[in-house]
Amino acid sequence: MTVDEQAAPAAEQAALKLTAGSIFTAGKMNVGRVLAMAAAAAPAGSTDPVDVVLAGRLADERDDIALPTVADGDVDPARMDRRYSLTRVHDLQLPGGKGTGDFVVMRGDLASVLKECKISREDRAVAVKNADLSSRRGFRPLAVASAPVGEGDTVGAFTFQGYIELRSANPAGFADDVAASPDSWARVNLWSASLRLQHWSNVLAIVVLSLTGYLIMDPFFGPSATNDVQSPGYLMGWVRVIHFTTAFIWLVIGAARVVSAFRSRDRYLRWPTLWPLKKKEDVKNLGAVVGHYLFIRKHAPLYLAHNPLQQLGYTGMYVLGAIQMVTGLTLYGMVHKNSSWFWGIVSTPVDWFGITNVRVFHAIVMFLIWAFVILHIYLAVRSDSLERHGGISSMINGGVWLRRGSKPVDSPKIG
Amino acid sequence: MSFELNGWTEPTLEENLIKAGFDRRDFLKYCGELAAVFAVGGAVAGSATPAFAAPVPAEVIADKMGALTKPVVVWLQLQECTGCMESALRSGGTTIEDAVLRLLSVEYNELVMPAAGAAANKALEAANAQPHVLVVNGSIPTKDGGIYCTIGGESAESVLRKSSEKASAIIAVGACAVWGSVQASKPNPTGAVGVDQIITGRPVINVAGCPPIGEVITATIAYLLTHGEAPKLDNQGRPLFAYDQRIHDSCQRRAHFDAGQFVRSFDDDGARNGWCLYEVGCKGPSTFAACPIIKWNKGTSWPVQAGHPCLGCTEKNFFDNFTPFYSTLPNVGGFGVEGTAEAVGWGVVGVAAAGVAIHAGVTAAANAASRNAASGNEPLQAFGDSERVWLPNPKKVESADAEAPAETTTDDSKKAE
Repeated sequence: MTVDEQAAPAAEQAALKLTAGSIFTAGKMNVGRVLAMAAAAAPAGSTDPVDVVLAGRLADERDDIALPTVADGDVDPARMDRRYSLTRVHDLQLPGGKGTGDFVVMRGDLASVLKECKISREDRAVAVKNADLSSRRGFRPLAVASAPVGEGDTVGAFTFQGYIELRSANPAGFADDVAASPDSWARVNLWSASLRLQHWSNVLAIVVLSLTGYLIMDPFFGPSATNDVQSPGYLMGWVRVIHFTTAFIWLVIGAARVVSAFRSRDRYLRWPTLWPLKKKEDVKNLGAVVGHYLFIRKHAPLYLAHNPLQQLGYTGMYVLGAIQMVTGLTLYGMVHKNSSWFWGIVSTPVDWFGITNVRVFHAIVMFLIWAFVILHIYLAVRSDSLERHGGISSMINGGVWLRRGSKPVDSPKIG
Repeated sequence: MSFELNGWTEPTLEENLIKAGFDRRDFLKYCGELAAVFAVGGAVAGSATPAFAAPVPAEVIADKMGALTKPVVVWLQLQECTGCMESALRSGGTTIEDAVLRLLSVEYNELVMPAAGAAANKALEAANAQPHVLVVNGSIPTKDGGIYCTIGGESAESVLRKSSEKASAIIAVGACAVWGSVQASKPNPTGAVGVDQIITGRPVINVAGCPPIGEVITATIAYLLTHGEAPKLDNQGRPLFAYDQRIHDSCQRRAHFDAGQFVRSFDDDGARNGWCLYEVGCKGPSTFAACPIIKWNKGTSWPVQAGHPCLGCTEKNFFDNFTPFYSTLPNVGGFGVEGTAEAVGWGVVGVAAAGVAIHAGVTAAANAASRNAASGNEPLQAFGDSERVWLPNPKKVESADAEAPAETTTDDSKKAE
């Protein structure tokens, strides 16, 4: 908190307009009651923006709940060293027509309020996780707890009741892109079934080829010389058979990808999608995306499908895959190079570069693919957890989620 | 067997051999061995193409070889170690190959010719003037005007060029003559190159190996002399009859490879069991040669049979590409200290993983910071963001501050409640 903020004139504070989002209830009250309890903890005629928005929301949604008037003297406002207010509320209407009751309402910062309440670990975790989600969407959770006031003004234990999401009505930053209602997300069916099938076929092929290929490069385990002499088995034979069979299946997958690049009606399978930077704007946005990942820029440009950096990576992955297919075929065909004209042509690179160099290249590219896989999974998880667009599940069910009203670079405005 | 050679005194090769003390039976046996070597290349099962050297009965070879009149063979020894000649001459004691080789190479060869000094140079000039078969051992240094190998004051390159002018066929014998071998490996201080890099535009038969098997050397020469043309060659100019198969595919230890039974270190139990040497660096899977079939020293043994991994000496640049000899894959240069492909690869993967971990950490921190910052865009009094009080005279809730003063801390107020 800077000095400036502390010294902000009261008028400005009063002019600040808030909106309330969803209401989280800890389970003992319904959301309307949580709202009512929060709204009740305000002195009559308060112009505090929080009080104003709560009263307005309550009037909109639950005009059946009448609030008692709270005298100024019954309010102990929040302070920097105690980030919640305590308000004595007389004769608050109880749900279900059970008359009225007196309460002390504790209202303010979630962490501070939770500290004062008796709450189980599980309930606390649920509340904190939900509040975390609210924070990511630009909301501040205003926590509400209450304690009954019994005979002789004895105050009981505080019970956490829930929280109300609050946010400035004129949000800054990425919230510009955020539609007015946080609930309005649109599902865009992005990835066709054949694209997803290809993706997962590739995953399977790459995993099998990597594991068997690694063992061919370095057969670091196998039968022991002391124990397994009698039944030697066919370990390396099987490893190679699996490697070669999978390799040919992968070639078919690759060939199918090439065909679909020219024949498919899905724009994300057509060949232009393999081209990383199509326009000047893409180059500019590439810088922006890199800046975002280097924590220089707060927000990356919004893309529906692949951003330029992603597309560069995926095109690179296609190149790596093609290299593996060519070098793999070369090494496979080398054995037959002197007895078949076809394999003779296919294995020509071993005469240019030397057999072992092609082998090393094949192995190094495998490791590069592993590095790609690590980065790919990390960035997918990262963006899905930060942007909440369902990017990971989209490769299973085909759909990503975007906020209505957002305008990706590569698609029309999401309606 | 003993024999006495007095040069090419009789008209034909057979007569010369008989004069030296061999009988026709020895000669036929020798020709039978040659026929067997030529047949190696035809042994590829299910091969789509016919044998690389048409199967010729030993008698036909014997007739052709025996009828050879004195051929002119110039056998140059340039930048080399004479190991190839040793391989041919000392392959199994005093043999008829030995005698044939001596008879063939008598015209000019530094090692076996009787002449020396100026007489030798004269013999070379005379041989160069007639059509001849040129056999070359050794590489050709090209740096600094070729001063690193001179014969009679003449550079190796110049000697080679002169001898090649009238040569009817050129055979490069041994890794040095094929591509330069050890002296052409990095950093190649003498600029050594193989014969086919000097003599371009003409076919050069590359009998690769360091050294090549003696039988393959003589068989190649015999093929030329008997067929009058070069044998079929592979893409690197090697005679297909001897270089069409990988060592790995005809290796006697191959079954252990397929079973995944590997020698992990020399002299371990696997080594004693005769298991596959791939894990201790055998280059058999990357090497085309007839070693497992023809073997060495009259078929006695060969490196892998003797328990040593193949070094891959019939492949080009094997000193650069196949070292370290006792690792499966060559090292990857350009990483300061050379690293194995595996180490470099895991390094790449490790860097990616570490990068991801760091980036994820920074993301989490930045995200937490921005979450706090975002929610603190405007200070709200209801959250205790500031001390500003919107009520004219805040009074305490009776119950809460019955005992606690106005400036109580959180803990105190809790107690009070």
